Amino acid sequence: MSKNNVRHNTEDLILEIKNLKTHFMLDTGTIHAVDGVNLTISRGKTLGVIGESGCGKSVTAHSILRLIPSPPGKIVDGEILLHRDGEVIDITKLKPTEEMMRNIRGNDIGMIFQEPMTSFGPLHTIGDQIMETILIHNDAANKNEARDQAIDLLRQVGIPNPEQRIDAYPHEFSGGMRQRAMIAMALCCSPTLLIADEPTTSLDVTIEAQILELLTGLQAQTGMAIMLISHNLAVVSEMADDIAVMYLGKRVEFGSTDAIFDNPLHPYTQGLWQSIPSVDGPLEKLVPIPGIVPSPRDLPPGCVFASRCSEFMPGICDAPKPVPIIEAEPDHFVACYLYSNG
Amino acid sequence: MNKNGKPIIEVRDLRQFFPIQEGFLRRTIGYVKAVNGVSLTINEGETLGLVGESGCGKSTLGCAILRLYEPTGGEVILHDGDEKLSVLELSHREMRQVRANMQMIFQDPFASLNERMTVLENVIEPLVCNNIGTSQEREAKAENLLMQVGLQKEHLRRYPHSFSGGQRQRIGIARALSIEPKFVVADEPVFALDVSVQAQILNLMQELQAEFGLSYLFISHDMAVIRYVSDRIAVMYVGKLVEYAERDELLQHPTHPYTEALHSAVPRLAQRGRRDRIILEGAPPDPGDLPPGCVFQTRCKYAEAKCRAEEPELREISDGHFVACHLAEDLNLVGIQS
Repeated sequence: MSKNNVRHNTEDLILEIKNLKTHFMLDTGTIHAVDGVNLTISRGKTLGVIGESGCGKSVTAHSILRLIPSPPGKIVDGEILLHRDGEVIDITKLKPTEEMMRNIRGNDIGMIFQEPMTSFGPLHTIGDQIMETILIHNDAANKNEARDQAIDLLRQVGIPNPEQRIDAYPHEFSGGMRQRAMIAMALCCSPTLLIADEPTTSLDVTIEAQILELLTGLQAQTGMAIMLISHNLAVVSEMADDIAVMYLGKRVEFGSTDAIFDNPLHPYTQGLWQSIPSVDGPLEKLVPIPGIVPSPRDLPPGCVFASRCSEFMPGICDAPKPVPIIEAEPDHFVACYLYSNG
Repeated sequence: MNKNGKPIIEVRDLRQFFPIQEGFLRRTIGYVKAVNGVSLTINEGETLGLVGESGCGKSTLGCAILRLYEPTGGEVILHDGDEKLSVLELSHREMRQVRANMQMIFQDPFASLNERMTVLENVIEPLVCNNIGTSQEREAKAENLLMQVGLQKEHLRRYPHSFSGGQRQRIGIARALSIEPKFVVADEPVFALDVSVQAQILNLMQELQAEFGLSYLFISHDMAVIRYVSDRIAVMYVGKLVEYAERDELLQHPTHPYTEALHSAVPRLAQRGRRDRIILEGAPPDPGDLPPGCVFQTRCKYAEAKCRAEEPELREISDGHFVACHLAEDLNLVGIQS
């Protein structure tokens, strides 16, 4: 599969995340929700981010858009570099409310949320909410143009009779329809990057297939990049070019989809593969990862996966220092002592 | 697994309708046909997987079999040794005893435990309700079970709120098994769990099945989970069983267009970058306002005039393979190759 070529041309980069740390300072202690994450996303590509609940995948997405509630949340370290027309903007240096940031949200980066049921305000029609976004981001547009544009968008995402449905309220839409409307809203300023946070989690499989197909189609049409966040490995395996595996705020492995599936290196990734059932392939007994995810309030020293790891090396893995990130093969990174020589 | 083909539960033409009421007088203007004439058999020691999308009536069917609702019509027969009990005709007193043979594991481990009781009390409760053993015996039994599902001794006196979802589900399983049922309805037991914990619970349920000779009706929307646990699989769509067969037969050789579409929609791990999904247009019909003929005809790409006029019966087209489709013999449908 040629689409899984990871070698990033720097000209094609849209977003680079370097050593991002987002912490939540609570009365009961500091939660290291995202703790040193590196990611890169290129034009027209799909980056899959997988991990279990609490691994920091949503917090990473919200950090990119500066939507972290502060206090208690804060980006304490790292850079989020947005490449736009030859210039590079560090999002972490911007104020969440300033003009530039508001511009980036929507114009450069669009986002669709997990819960299509709660992401729309219940008191306004779907059309009004999409038109509001268009009017905010495009000063030139007037109300009639915005309405025409909204109808076009709804048609593009496959809502039947958009001329009438534009005046419907969110509760009159089914879950799949609402997710389509959500996508229409995210697309209204043609973002170069679409962040999709568990876009199909609350949907039935046949509806999920519709939405995934729609996203693939829109990507082919517009050339936007997609950051697809999901706990569903099968969804990610079908959609993504590259995959980042996260565990407890760390990016433990990163590589092309083929590399991550055919040659998983981190014991956590290997454990995930053995613990999920599939509808195809040989039917083998599942091997669960023992134990549970530790509380992010008191992280173990050293490698965060050490307490559940089958390859645990006493004195090395639990040494209180950061785990090195190793490029085990070209463009395939893993944070694990098993692959460090010496 | 012990599969001697002896039935434990037989369901015949089970119907569960809920009235739609309107206006000040709450007059009944129609019915939501949540379960609309379902027949199936579950054998001793076997797992029947029930798969379908949300709102198709799979949970309602599970509850109706256990008579947690009063079904509108049909029959549920429980085989107890050589005795056959018609569950829906029993009095409340008789029902109590029968329930000891039929238990349920619920979907949401955060809602199904009593928060005011310790873990141990939660598991003892069904024994008290059914008057089984002395209090020492009950406690010993509950303790044993909790250890068996993987809890530790120091956990027993704690309250449910201090446990994670996976551990709560273990407690829910221990509670369902405490009165030694023969038949268990498991309603999406791993739905709320993380993938790495999901495998722990699935394996635990299989070990317990082998040890106690349990029969499961395993309800899930996730075809991959259903494939892993089931001996046979039943596919439900808007209150009807559309197809049911042995696991591999149903996966590899579907004969109902809905089963084919469902298979096609499920994301796969072994085939990456696949782009040949069958996309079903629209959404399932409203169970309160069903289309004429086949329930699936509004979304079926193979539908003919007959499908829109006449409702297909569930019929056996090959040994143990049942399907409700007029065209089953003529279609050449694509399954999942493993």
